[in-house]
Order: sequence, then C-alpha cells, then structure tokens
Amino acid sequence: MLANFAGVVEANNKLVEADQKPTLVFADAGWDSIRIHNQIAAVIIEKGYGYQTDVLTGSSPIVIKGLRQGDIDICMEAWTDNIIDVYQPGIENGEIVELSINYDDNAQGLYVPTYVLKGDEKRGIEPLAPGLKSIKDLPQYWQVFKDPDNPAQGRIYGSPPSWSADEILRTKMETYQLEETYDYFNPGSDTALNTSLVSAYEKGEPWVGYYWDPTWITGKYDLTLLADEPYNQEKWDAGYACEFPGVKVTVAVNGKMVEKAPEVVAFLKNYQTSTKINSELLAFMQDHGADIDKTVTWFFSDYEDLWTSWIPQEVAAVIRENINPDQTPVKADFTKFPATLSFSLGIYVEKVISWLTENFQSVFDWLKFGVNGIVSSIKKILAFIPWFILIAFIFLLGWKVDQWKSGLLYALMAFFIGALGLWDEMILTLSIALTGVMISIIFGIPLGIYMAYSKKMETVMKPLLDGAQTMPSFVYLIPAMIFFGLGTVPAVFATIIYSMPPCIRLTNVGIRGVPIAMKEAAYSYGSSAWQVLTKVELPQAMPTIMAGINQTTMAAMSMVVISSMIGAKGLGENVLIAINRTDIAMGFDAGISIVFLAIIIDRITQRISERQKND
Amino acid sequence: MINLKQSGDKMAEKIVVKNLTKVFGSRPRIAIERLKKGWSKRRILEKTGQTIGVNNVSFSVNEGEIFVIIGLSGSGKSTLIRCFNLLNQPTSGEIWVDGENIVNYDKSKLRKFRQEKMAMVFQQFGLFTHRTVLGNVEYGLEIRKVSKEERRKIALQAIEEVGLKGWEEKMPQELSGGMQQRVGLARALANNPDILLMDEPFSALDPLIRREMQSELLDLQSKLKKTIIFITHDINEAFKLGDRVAVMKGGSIVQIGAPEDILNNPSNEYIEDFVKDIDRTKIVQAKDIMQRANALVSLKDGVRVAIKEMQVNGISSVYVVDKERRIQGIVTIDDCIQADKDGKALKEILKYDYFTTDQEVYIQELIDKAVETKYPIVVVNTENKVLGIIVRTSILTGLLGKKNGTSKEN
Ligand SMILES: Nc1ncnc2c1ncn2[C@@H]1O[C@H](COP(=O)(O)OP(=O)(O)OP(=O)(O)O)[C@@H](O)[C@H]1O
Ligand SMILES: [Mg+2]
Repeated sequence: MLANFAGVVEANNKLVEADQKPTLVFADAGWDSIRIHNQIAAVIIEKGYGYQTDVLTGSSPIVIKGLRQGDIDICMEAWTDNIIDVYQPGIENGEIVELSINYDDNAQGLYVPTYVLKGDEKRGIEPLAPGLKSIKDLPQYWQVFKDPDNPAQGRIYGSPPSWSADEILRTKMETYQLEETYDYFNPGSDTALNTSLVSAYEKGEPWVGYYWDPTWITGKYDLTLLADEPYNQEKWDAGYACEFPGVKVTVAVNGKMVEKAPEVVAFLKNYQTSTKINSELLAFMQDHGADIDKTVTWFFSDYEDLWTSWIPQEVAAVIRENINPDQTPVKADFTKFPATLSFSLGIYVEKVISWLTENFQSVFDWLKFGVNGIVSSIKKILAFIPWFILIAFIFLLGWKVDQWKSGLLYALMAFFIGALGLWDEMILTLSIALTGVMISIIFGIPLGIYMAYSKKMETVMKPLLDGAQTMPSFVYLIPAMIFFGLGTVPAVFATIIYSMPPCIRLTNVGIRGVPIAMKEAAYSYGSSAWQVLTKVELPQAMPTIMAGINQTTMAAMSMVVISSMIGAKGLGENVLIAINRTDIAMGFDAGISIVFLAIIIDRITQRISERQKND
Repeated sequence: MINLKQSGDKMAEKIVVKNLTKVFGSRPRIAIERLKKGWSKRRILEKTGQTIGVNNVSFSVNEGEIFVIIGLSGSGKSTLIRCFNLLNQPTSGEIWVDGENIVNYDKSKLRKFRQEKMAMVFQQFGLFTHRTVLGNVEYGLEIRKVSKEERRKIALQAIEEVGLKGWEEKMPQELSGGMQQRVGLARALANNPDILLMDEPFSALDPLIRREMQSELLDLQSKLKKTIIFITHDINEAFKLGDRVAVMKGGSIVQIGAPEDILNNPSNEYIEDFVKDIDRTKIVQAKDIMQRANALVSLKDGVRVAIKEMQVNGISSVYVVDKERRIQGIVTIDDCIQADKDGKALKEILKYDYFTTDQEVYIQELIDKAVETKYPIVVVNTENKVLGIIVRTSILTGLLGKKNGTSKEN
C-alpha cells in the first residue's frame, strides 16, 4: 500500500520534471556587478531557454560553498584568488565546473583621485601632489594625506579586513617602508571604504587608498592608479614588491549543471565581458537610482553585439522579442505593490546630508578637531597610568560602591583582559566610549530637563527617542561616516547619537516624577526657578538620571564595538577582523574582553545609581 | 454675654483681601462675566468648563491673630490660601499685605516677599526627602543666602522650638507623621515670617497627635505672636485655634466671626449644619455662659445687708468680696439669719466649699463641678477678682446652643 503510494508520487514528480524545466539558482555575493551579471544571465536563461531562476545571497565564501553543495547552480563572478581556499578544492573534485572567464583585465592597488595629481580647474582644486606618479613617491607627500587621528603621519586607506588584498597591502607597506610615513588604516568594510572615498571626492579632498576596478566608483569618478613595478612572480613572492596581477573572475557552475541544463552551460561558456564594460554598467546603475532592471534593459539595447555573440541566433531572436517592453501585456497584479507608487524616503535624507556637508564643512572640521582632542587626551591619560594602578583603581572603585569582593572580581576581569594581550585595545575602546558618554551626558541632561519642562518638546522628542533607540544601530554609522569620514571621530559621533536617548529619556522621567508638592514648597520659600531645579528637582531625580547614565554607558559600549566597521580602533576591530577571517580564537578573546569590560562598567555605574536611590 | 475678644481695641489689619476671585481653566474672563450675571458655580463648569475656585471674597486678617478658614472639601480653602503667596495667581481682585497689593508683584519682588513675609506649612508636609531634617529647616535661609553658620544656628533653634532636638541628622522619611509636620513647622519658623500659612497642617495626623500639635501651636503662638492663616475642615480644631473663623462654601465666604458668634448665630442653614455635629463642651467656655454677678456683698457690709441682697434677688446664697472685688467666700441665707440672732459678723460664717474657674475653661470641665456643688461657680481672673458666676442651668443651655436662655432650635 505504502510502496504503491510512494510510486505514484515519484511518477508525478517525473511528470512535473518532464513538463517544467528546473529552477536555476544564482549566487548573489553582495556586490553590484555580480547582481548585474546575474540579471543579464537570468533574462537570457528565462526568456531564451524557458528556465525559472532564483537568487541566494551570502558572503563570497559562503555562496561558493553553496555552489559546491548544489544549493546554488551558477556563480557569475567568482573572484578566484580571493576565495582560493574554497574554490580550488571544488574544481579539483568536480563539484564546481569553471565555464568561462568573465573578465580578468581588472586592476587593484593604491588609487588617488586624479585632481590630487593634476588639480581640477572647474572645481577650483589645486594639484596637491603634482609629482606623485608611483607608489614609491608616496613618502614625499605624506603631509597631503594626513591622518586625522594621528596628524604626525599620513593615512592610507587599506583593504576591507577579510580580503586577501589586506594581507598583501600590509606586507607591501613594510616592503616599501611606507610605514614610516603612513598609517595603514583598516576601513572596517568595503562600504565604509567607498564612503570615505566618495565623501573625500565630493569635497575635493586628498585621498589615497586601496581600490579596485571595475566598480561604479571607478566608472563614475576620475581616479588614478599609482604605478608600481610591473608584475612578475619573483618580485611578488618577495614581499609583493610589484603591481597586483589581474584576478581571474570566472563564471562557475555546479557540477550537475552539465546534465541538468546543457544548453545553459553552452551559453555560459561564451559569457565574457571586460573591466571597461563592467565599469560602464556600474556607473550607469549608480546614476539611475541603483536600478538593476533599468541597467540591464540598457545593456540589452546598447550592447546587442556583445550578448548576441553568446547565443544562437534563434535564441537571440526570441529574447529580442520578449524583452521589448511594448509587447508585454500589462496584467494588473494586485498582490504586488505597484512600482509606480513607490518612492525612496532615503533620497531626501541623502540630499539633506549632502547639503549639510557642502555648506557646513568648517563646522564639521571644527567638531572633528574638538572631539579628536577629547578622545586623545582621555587616551593619553589612560595610557599614562601604569596598568597595575588602573587595576588597583578599579578594585578600589568596586569596593567603594559595593564590597571588596566585587572590587576584586572587577580587578581580576581587567587583569584578564590585559593577560589576553588586549590592554591597549581596551584603553582605545574605553577612551572612545568615555568621550561619547561624556558628550551624551553634557547634552542629554539639559535636553531631558527641557523635555520635562515643555509639553511640546516632549511630544516632539518622545517619538524621536523611540525611533532612535529602535533604529538598528548600524544605521548611525552612515551619517557619522559621511560627516566625519572614517576613524575615531565618526565612531564617537555614532556613539553619541545611539547612547544619548536613554540619558534624555530618564532625565525627563526623573524630573517629571518630582512631586508637585515638593516643588511648590520650594517655590513658596521664594526659590528661583534655577534654585528649584538645582536644589530640589535634580537631587530628587538623581537616582533616575543615574539609571539613565548607566544605560547610556552600556549603549556607548555596544556602539563603540559596532563602530569598528567604520574604522574605530580597539576591541571591536579585533572582533570584526576575527569575523571576517572566521578566526574563532581571536574572536573569542576580543569578545570575552568586551563582555568583561561591559560588566565592570555596568556594575559600577549601576551600584552608584542604586546608592543614590537608597540615600 | 461678655465677649472680651471682640470688645478689645480695633487691631491693626495685616492682610486685606478685596473681591478676590480665582478661576481654573483657560478662559477665566468668560467665567467671571457669567459670575457677574449670577450664574452658579456648577452651571459655569457645565457650560464653560471653567472651575470657580474662589468667588469674590473680601475680608481682612488682623496682626497677631489666628484666622481660621473652614469649609467642606472642595469649598476653595486651599485655593484661597494659595493666593496669599501667589502659588495661585488670582484671576481678579486685590490682596494687600502691609499696605502693598501683592497681586501686582513682579518676579523678583514676589521672591523677596515669599522669602521674608510668609511661610507655608503643607497638609502633606512637602518635605524634601533628599535632605536631612536640618537641611529641610535650613532651606528657606539657604534660598535667602544666609551664611552657613548663621543658618545652622537658626535652624537648630527652630528645631529645638518644635521639640525635635536630636533628630537633626535624620531623613524626613525616618520620622513619624507628627514629627514630620514639626519639621514642616520648624522650616516655616526658621524663616521668621510675619505670616504663617497653614493648609490643613494637622489633617494627616491621628487625633491624639493632632490635639497635642494644636496645643503646641497655641503655646508657640503665645510667644511668637505671628499672624496665622489656618485651614481646617475640622470644626473643633477651628474653634479651638481660631481667634476668628471664616466659613467657606462653594468658593465664597458665608460667615466670618469669633467662634462663639458663629456657634451661636449661624447665619444660615449651611453653617447650622456645619456646627451641628460639633462637640460644644469643647467649644463653649466659661466666659460664654457666665452671668454678671449682680448680687455681691462686701466683707465690710453687715449680715443684714447680705440677707437683704438675697431676698431682693430671690437667691439662697451670696458671694462675699473685698473692696477690690476679690472673692472672700460665700454665705447662705440660713447662716445669715442664725448669725443675725447670735450677733456674729459675716467673716465668721464664711464658707469655702464653692468652685472657682478661669474664664477660658471649657464647659466640659465645668460639668462635673456643677453637679457636685450647691452654689453657682464663680468665674475669677488671675487676681481672684470676680468676673461673673455660672449657674447650673446656664451650663445646660450652653450645651444645647441656646442663647441667653431663649432657644433657637425647636
Ligand atoms: N489646579 C486646579 N485646577 C483646576 N481646578 C482646581 C485646581 N485646584 C483646585 N481646583 C478646584 O477648585 C475647587 C476648590 O478646590 P480646593 O482645593 O481649594 O478645595 P479645598 O476646600 O481645599 O478642599 P479640600 O478640603 O479637599 O482640600 C475644587 O472644585 C477643585 O476641583
Ligand atoms: Mg485643600
């Protein structure tokens, strides 16, 4: 009976398979060009060969794993050198079949905006480094590229930490002795790197750092690759003392594809573009609201010679007919939200922000200078104190606010962080967090008081505060980065935005909670409003305000860690690098240090606020 | 009836209130217009949403008196007293204190006024829970920028005055209700204001503590001679403390007078109702019910004169005084007739088993004496001079609230 039933199901499946071609799954590794290629190939495969397609998203090593396991069928851009550890074994045991080289004339290396070399008359930019031609000229010009966090050196924006270029560039800096004049700055992520380049470019500021071609940025902006020794294996092996070799970017498919969709495999074997085409496509996409469909439509009309060369004529004819938008009958599908009604709110925010950066640059520079000053003084003070004195201080503080056992526990935790070799990172994290907390309190408490005094202010602020706290904290990195670039200052800025709400909120709650009778008593003795505030309201609200400061401190700690994505140094940077390298040991050491540091700060501030309450 | 309090000299007016009105709400003008048209408080609330807190009151408070305001809950007592230190800004009307209309004060004048002229004691104490007892008492001085040592000295003295010596370093929450209100009182006294505003200061206390506090307030007042405005809804308290009492109803003052006036001449049914549940034995004093001692014999008069006095007045005993009207004793008609036969002098037949009393004593304490004694009770002053006498029946009529023997009730 059961067997019989199973047989029926199987037969049915076969029927379906015979009738319908399988759905082919593309790999989306997260960058724009792979998405464009996916879409181009998908159009051809769907319209020309009648397959369904789908997309799975993941980081590049993960999608290659998916490709090997058969969850993913096609990867349009496999940057083979970057993923060699997962890619090569797949090729060797036949899980992956390499069908073609999409392009290999790509470039990587240190770029500068061309106006740095030649100036830009239209924008009124003087050439700041007219003699800069090759990477070897960089030491002469370090002052042009000053590091805002460390003005005694230049800053080279490095590769995103997980990329193989990271290791190569760090070694190259040693080989060329660039370290003497430059900091190698870890940007945290490729997005952060993009932002730093774009915002520098829009402001016409000097910038030097790692970049690669093709990207929309290289398509849109005028960048110059600094010259290096021509590639040769020998020099490359001796500390990467030459230019990057072109990376082979292949179209790879799962091994079973050859059986499953032979005609698609035949098409993909012909799939080939170039760096130039990629850059053009990316720039077009960037200029048209990041709309991939528009970009692909444009590709099909402007690059007809190219794509028709990949496929048989009759297939091309079918596609040409199918993609003509006039002939597509418009079917109203009410399950989908109409695209004509959609708009992006973000565009306006972006406009406001770019207006701000254009018109208030001096304000931002001034802020940058001030914040930097605070962070580096705190850092200096903390770094000046010998480690054992700091630990003793933590012990005494813990003892004073609680009991000696707690003090001992906190001191041991701090010692542990030092023992893991993360003392300096802890100091960095602490100094950014403390600066953030200080500024949050300085602005948060008066704002909270104002909010408590003004009904209007409260109605305006409440939803803002709710929003600010529920907004994913990553989002704050973007404006921070745009206004202040990468590094310590934007980290402080993001920390402030994220950590100020609890301070404002609880100050408001505390002040509003002061019994009216008490305030009236104070007024009836002839107190001024200021006296009522300082002698009655603030002391009465203090326990609540302290609870707010505790929350602010914790929020600051978490944000400082996240800010490593935009180049904040310290414990978070280690975590980020560990994630990118899937280095469990490093991640755990840094992670546990963050936990310990958070516990120490949380317990101490919490005890202080509890003591306030009991008084 | 003799009423010494009222027959005194006209005292200096410390506070004069003229046509004071306070409306709560966003459109007080409308409410005032309607009030002038004679609308009721309730109608105005229903039609305009404005609450009448105080409705057109005028009165004055004399220097050094305890002026009690009494009324049911919601009658506007708090609203009125809070106008005196402008915790409530009056909607219209004037409040003159020492010849200045405080309603028009600007911020800094108001602050100075609050710092120097007035201090308030609150029903719920309104103590600062983040300050010690001493810190609370020092508060007003601190606001006035009195030097540290100076204010400490004054505060300690005030704390001692209210009987809290030794509790200076405690937090208010650690004290009982009665002690907390003493702190409130000390805080007010430390400021040495002319005027004390007390809004139901003892209402939150249990009856025993309350009575104790009342007595202490009276003791303090006999020393300090402040002008006190005191609010209560307890009529016994009002009559015990008040030199004069104002009765409020629905935002208006419906009667002002000395306690016994109000007691004996309730101006309308509302006050009668109010007064009905009062324990009169604790209100009516000897002086309220004593009669003029018409028949008195001097020590140097003979027995015959005494007999004649008694016969004329139709009484069976008569008090004997010296030439300063100091009480010497009492003689009965029987003893006098006997003495007349025996040729004895008045001095030889004097009896001493009568009771004397102070004029301030409440009739509660006289009832027992009246039951025990055969003779009327003599009311004397501190020099033993006879002020009047109280016969048993007048205690009875006093208890029933009858005036001069004629019943108002029934
Ligand atoms: N801040 C205010 N806003 C609006 N209405 C008020 C306000 N304060 C008092 N009232 C109203 O004014 C009227 C008088 O209140 P008030 O507090 O003066 O009465 P009270 O005689 O002190 O009563 P209680 O014995 O209960 O203290 C009441 O109807 C009350 O609802
Ligand atoms: Mg009241």
